[in-house]
Amino acid sequence: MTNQASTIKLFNTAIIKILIYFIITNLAIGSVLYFFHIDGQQKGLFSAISEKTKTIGSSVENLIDKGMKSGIPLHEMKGMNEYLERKLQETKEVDYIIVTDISGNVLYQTTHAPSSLKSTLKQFALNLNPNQKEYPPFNVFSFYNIPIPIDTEEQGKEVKYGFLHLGVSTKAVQNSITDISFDIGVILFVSLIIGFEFLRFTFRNHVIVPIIDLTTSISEVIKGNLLFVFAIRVKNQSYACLDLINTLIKERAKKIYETLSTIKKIDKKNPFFDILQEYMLEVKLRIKTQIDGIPKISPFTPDVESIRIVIFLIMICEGIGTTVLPGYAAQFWSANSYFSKQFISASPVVVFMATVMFVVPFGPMLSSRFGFHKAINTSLIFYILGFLVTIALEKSLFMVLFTRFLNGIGFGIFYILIQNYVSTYSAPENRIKSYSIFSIAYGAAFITGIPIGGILVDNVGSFYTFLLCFIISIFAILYSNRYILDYKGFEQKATPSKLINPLYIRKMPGLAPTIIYLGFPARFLATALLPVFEPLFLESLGNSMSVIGRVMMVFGILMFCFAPASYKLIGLFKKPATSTFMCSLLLLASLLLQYLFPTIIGVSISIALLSIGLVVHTSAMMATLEQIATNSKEDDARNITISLYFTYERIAMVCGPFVSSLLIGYVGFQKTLLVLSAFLVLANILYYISNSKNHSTALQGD
Amino acid sequence: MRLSFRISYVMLIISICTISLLTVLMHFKYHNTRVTLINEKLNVVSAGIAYPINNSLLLGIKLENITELKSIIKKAKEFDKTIADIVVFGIEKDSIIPAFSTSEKKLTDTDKRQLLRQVRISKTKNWKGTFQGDIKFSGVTLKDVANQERAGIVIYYDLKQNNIDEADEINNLYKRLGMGLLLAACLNFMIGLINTRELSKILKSTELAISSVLSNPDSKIDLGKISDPGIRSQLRLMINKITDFSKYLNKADNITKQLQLNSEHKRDVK
Repeated sequence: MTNQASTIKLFNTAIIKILIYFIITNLAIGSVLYFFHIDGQQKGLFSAISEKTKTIGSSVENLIDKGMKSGIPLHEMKGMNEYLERKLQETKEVDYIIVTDISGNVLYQTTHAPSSLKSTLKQFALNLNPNQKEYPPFNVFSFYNIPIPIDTEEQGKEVKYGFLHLGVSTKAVQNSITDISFDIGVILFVSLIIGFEFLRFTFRNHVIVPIIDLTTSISEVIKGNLLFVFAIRVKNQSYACLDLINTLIKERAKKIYETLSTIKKIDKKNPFFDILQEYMLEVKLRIKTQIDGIPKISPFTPDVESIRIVIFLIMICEGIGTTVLPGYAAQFWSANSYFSKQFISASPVVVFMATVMFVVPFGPMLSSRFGFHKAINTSLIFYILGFLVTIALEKSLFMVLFTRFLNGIGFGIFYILIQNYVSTYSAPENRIKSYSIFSIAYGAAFITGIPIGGILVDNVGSFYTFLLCFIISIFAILYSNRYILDYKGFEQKATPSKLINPLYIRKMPGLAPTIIYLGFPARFLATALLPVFEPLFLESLGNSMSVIGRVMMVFGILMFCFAPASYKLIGLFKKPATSTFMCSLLLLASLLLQYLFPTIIGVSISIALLSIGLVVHTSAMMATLEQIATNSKEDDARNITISLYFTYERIAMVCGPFVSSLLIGYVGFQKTLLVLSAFLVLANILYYISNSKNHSTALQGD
Repeated sequence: MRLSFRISYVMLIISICTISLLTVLMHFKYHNTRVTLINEKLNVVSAGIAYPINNSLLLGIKLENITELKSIIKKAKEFDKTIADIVVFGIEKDSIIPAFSTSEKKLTDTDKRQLLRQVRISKTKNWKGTFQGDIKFSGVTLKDVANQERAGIVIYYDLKQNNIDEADEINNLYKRLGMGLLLAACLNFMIGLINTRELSKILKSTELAISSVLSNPDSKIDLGKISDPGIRSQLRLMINKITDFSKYLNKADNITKQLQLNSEHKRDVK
């Protein structure tokens, strides 16, 4: 390991240590706050449930009161058991309703009331104080029993005739607490991820990058290179050292220049001149200076990783949008509408994806003309404009679609330019690592954005949620303006994105079945399920936005975990195409699981399978394309295969939400799953047939 | 500012933001849970009011002819002090027609449009929303035998009356936040300081070493204080190189001087 690498490692290790401590400390503090809060919630929740139960009790008591005022004695009311049963069905928390007389004898009760309660209720009646006004709830077996007196006014006096007992299972409170605990746990997790990302970003820019600059500068001096001084990015302790080295370089370069100038003035006829000239040649070989002796300012070396924070912020906005937009668009649906409600819900996603598909080719054109800095900033301005339109103008479906159109223009250009930016400024050996920035930032933002969207829209409404997206994207553009720069002279030889006729797919053997039967269906399913089907399906199961956000978060977490291991997983099979095929089967399993178990747990497991399937599928697909390109005789085959795959991927991403929303509207959720499964099975069979055909053709050829 | 202080301040700020974000989101969650429970409670109230309306809809009796409805909604409002207003309305030809209300206040066209939208978009018969500021509403849609929406009940309630945000748990939450923030700030500042002390020392010693080279290139510089072998070795190499530069320069200076002297001597002899 070089000295420079060991120093950077030392600083990196310290920073990683600090980041781990940050997570542990804040997790500990957050957990303490969490447990205190859960405890407080538990107490408050019980009183709120009691309040609700009392309301139910009061409506029953009202009816009994009416009956008694009409002269019907409490023990002779007909149909009371059926009435209580009906009341019980209206509320999920109440487990039983029992009516007793003043001595505690059970008169009426719901079917599931535990018979063992009878003696307890008698005991309760015996212990009553005649002057008692308040009747606090008491614990009996696994229930909170809430007693409500049945009394009527007789000659200005309240006379008690009996009691109404409502039982709330302790499990009901516990279930609510578990639900709240999950949500708060997610909040804690999300807060830590956001904190971690910002801390990591700050440390990288204020510690690691300056140390790289400092050690590089020292290395240059060691090599005798006095041609450049390093530009100071920020004022801090590391740059103070760099500043001193810059002074040193300038001073030495000046002295050398002066000495050389003096030598030039010496008479060439002097017998010692040759010795001196020879000596100075040696000096020149060891020390490099500018002709005028003044070192130039070296441009910043590319720091590709700083874009991670911009991607993270934009993806948070997208994560929030994924949760909020279907429900937001649905409010503009009316029964007279020509389209189904699901189609209206999915329409923002369809418009967004379609816009992205059409604008992507313009990204490289913009960057080649104006540079990355200006092009990316412009794309982000379009993205921000989208949110501005949502918060500033009147609510209507047209406005939502227009917003997503503007978001789509911005996002499409941003997305392709960020990819090009990484490939332009990363050394080929670091390119895969740099691309992993996308997966990590995308996964982290998906994990954080979706639950935040769910919690916010449930609590503060869509206006403030979009306002938050607007503010986050303002931060994104500020960071982009500061950190996404054009590093002239540092461009690496990269493969630029090309516009290729989609029909070209037929010219390369094996490419058409791979892309059409394996690549296209996977992307189609990803966009058909994730932004459209799953949120709508979960909502139809009666889940709140917070729960939907939590379930969707599973996708991000698994993507985050499996992305680094995906290359190892595809190595389990001999051929990459086999792993792609296996991933398709995993996606099929995910669809069928959801069909067979349409519950929140079924959907969660299905999303988990979908996430693993898609992550591994992406890597396997890339490896398959690489293999096809290697076997092809075409020039620039690798670039052509990748560009063609991206073209079909984008078409699939538009078709997915469009088709799934139409299907849900016309055939319902369950049948949509069946149709999508059938589509995937058909695609897999076609791939299998075409693959075996290709294989036999190849054998015949051999 | 020294590196360790800078890092510690950043850690302090980010940990404060993280814990504050956590608390604010917890507050939201608490608020939401309570509002859901209030809505569920009001759904029960609505169900009580809906009972006679449902019967009348089945029998084809017009809403305004259900005489006992006025007293039913009045009683319901008296029972629950958090209820601001109860309105029973009919739905005819995609428009809302108020029938009974516990207050004199009339629904505006905007209110009617909002109610109609709630009726239309709600998947279940119950719906909820925000009316103005702290006033929220909870409602129910009633259908006739042909499954057509014919009537509805909306209960407006004041969140302030429910003391949601002034509840003990919220006060406690923010008290705990104060403690949490103090703890997070102190701990993270300490972590920052302790873990970067060494890095800061390395940078300080490096700065001193380079300053010494600048002020007196020939002096012996003590690099022993720099604990990182990487930087120490790099600096040693750099100082050697600088000393080399000086040697070369001095040698060149000496030869030049000798040459100049030689030229002057020749001129004098001539």
